[in-house]
Amino acid sequence: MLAEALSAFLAESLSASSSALLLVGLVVVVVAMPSLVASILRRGLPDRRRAVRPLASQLHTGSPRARRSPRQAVSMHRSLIAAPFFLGLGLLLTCFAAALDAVGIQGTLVAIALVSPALLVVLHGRRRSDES
Amino acid sequence: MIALLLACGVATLWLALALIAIGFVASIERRLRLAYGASATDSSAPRSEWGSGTLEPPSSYALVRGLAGLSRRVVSDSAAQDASPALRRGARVASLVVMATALALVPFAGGSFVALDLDAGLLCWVVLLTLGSIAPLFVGLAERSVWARLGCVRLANQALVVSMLLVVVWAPLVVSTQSLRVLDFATPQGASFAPFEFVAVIFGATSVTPFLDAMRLPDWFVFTQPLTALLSIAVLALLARRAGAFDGVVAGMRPGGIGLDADWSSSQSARFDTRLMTVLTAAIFVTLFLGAADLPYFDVREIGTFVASFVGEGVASAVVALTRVGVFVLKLIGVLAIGAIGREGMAPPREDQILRVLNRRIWPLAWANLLLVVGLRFLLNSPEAGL
Repeated sequence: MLAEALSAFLAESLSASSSALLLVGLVVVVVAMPSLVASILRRGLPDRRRAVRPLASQLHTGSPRARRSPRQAVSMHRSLIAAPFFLGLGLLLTCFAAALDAVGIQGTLVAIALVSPALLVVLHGRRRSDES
Repeated sequence: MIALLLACGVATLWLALALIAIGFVASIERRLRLAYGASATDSSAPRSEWGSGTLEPPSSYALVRGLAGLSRRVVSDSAAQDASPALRRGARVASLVVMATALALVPFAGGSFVALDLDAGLLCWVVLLTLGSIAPLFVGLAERSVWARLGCVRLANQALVVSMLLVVVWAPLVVSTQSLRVLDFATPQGASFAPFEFVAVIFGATSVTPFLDAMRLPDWFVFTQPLTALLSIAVLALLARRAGAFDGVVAGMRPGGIGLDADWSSSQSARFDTRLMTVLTAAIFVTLFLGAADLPYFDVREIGTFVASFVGEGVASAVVALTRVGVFVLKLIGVLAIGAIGREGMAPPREDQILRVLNRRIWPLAWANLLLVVGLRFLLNSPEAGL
């Protein structure tokens, strides 16, 4: 009775993501297994063979061009700053495509009719402020 | 209980397939290493302590090589100086967890055998690929060297830019399918289309001529959106460049690699990490652009119908599922082989070259592709076009 209740509880509590969780667990176990086996076997070695060998840090060197000039850092900084704007525009365009797909191509005419007066007012206001 | 068993079966099957693909990648790397006779770099494993020769251990049997590596680990343990072991270990585990979760989203045998089916699967892939690129950087942060930390910031910068680019590159797919679910990308690719159908329409034909109809292509995104496929190859290849960059051909770290490959467990983790990321990006490409588990011009379910006339429905379903799995694995291995050959055929690009190509070529092309797909969609779907 208890076993049946437990199995029913497990079946209910396991959602659709249980396969994914098991897969993640299996991958981690597969990777950790050699190190685990080696550390267990090392326990059987005599003390003098179990000494840990220290390793020096690895040197990190980039491209020679990067070391000569800051140009790469500048271009990298520019690309990092520009990428969110391009991403935002891309997402906006994708949403625009989805919306236009729903309302149809005639929706562009309605959109132009709505936007044009606002654009006219904005441009006129900008011109006036320049004059002032 | 049946749900638990089914979940275990799917997870074990997918792990077995991933391990087969990883073994295939390792085999290709070894073959290329032997073919080119590449020499080890300065940062390779300490051969003076572990054995002589670049191609150690000199055995053609993978099991013997594995046992030799394990015995080395038993008799010679090492610890990296000036590094936080907890942070290093945490970074490795985080990277593995992220990549395994991304692998779970791959529908390797159609809808019934997907380990994790999410409505926003494509978005999850973008997020997980970003995290998978950034997680190994904590290995570099674990070192108490300012150069390692600066290198990590530099690589995180690149990973963020490439991930944002990936969103723009994949946006045309979302525009075409109007969905973010991975199965919605994989399932419709089983059909075929006539790419020159518009010629018949332009010349006023009421139906597609037999000649044009014979030139049908599989409805894979690699044919319907070739520019998106090409850009995806470039961006996925950039994301697959790992921070702990293990180079299988020279059997050592690349100069920009993070982490000490002289440490046995770090070396093993870096190898597995790099190969798993390669398999993941190849599996994503097969799913999105090469029809996932479907065969071109042939519906796999017909095999099930044929088999069901001799045996029961259950066996027929199993045969169909196994056929789909086989097709997916063959496509995956083909992509991995072509990728390895292509990678060896070209010199590894410098970082400034990568940046220049990203900023001046791939970003504008991705934008042009998105605008092209959006424009074509409205043109072909409008009632005036008659297509």
